Amino acid sequence: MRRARRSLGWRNWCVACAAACFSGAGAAAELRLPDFDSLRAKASDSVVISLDEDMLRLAGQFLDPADAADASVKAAIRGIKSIYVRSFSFKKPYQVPSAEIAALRSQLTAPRWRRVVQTHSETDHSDVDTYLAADANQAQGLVLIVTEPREFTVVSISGAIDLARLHSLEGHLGVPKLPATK
Amino acid sequence: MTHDLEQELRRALRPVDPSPEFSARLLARLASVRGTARALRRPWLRPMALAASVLLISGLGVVEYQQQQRQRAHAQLLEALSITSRSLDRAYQAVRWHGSDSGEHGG
Repeated sequence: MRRARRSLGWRNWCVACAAACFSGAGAAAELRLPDFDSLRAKASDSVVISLDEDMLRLAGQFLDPADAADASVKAAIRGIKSIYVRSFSFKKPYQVPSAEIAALRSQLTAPRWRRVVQTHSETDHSDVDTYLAADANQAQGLVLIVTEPREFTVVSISGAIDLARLHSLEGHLGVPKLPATK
Repeated sequence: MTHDLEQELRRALRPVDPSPEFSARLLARLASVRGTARALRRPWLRPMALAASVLLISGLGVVEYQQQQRQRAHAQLLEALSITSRSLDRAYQAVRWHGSDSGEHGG
């Protein structure tokens, strides 16, 4: 009897440890995006979207697999766990929220995160930072920070990401295909 | 005279068996009256009907709310994906531009 109780306790302990490990992994995968309240107050247009796994599933139910555009969206979000978007447009040049960007960057550290693209254009005064969290086969997390004179955008996606598929959505969602440079 | 009257009354009031049609009609009538009485004796029927109506209306409300949530999530997903795709394109363009720029400097 005592032995049975002890083995049950051991099993419970293992389950608790596994649960803690998994929840820890989940917490590590999820980024805390700042609210950028200072920007929101001054922006002429702001988009704040937070789609967790449940919301993504809900949205997926509305996609028609018979429709080609919906089918490509469905394929693009397969494996994605969450999408967070903060995008602000301004009529005049704005103050870049350095403190909030620094707070965000402090979460994007090695070994999980790698900055794969960092560009600065003096011509159009824009910066693009791309961070990627990847395992051996696939991207598991993506963060884009785009700073332009009149627009500021942060995108955070977690889960199994097919970058090519995501990029190919351009032109299918009412977004005009941008002309290629040079 | 009185005897005749008595005889006459007895004859008039003698027990007579009802016709089978009359019995059938009477039984049918009784059955329907019993049914109505039984229905009237169910006081829970009206609250039940009311509760069913409330349930139905709230059920429809929930379905409508879920439909709206789904539509909202769908619209948000499309907007999020279009912003993501546009941002990715900026990154691609920047990399391409820098690549070709360094190529020009190198060559």
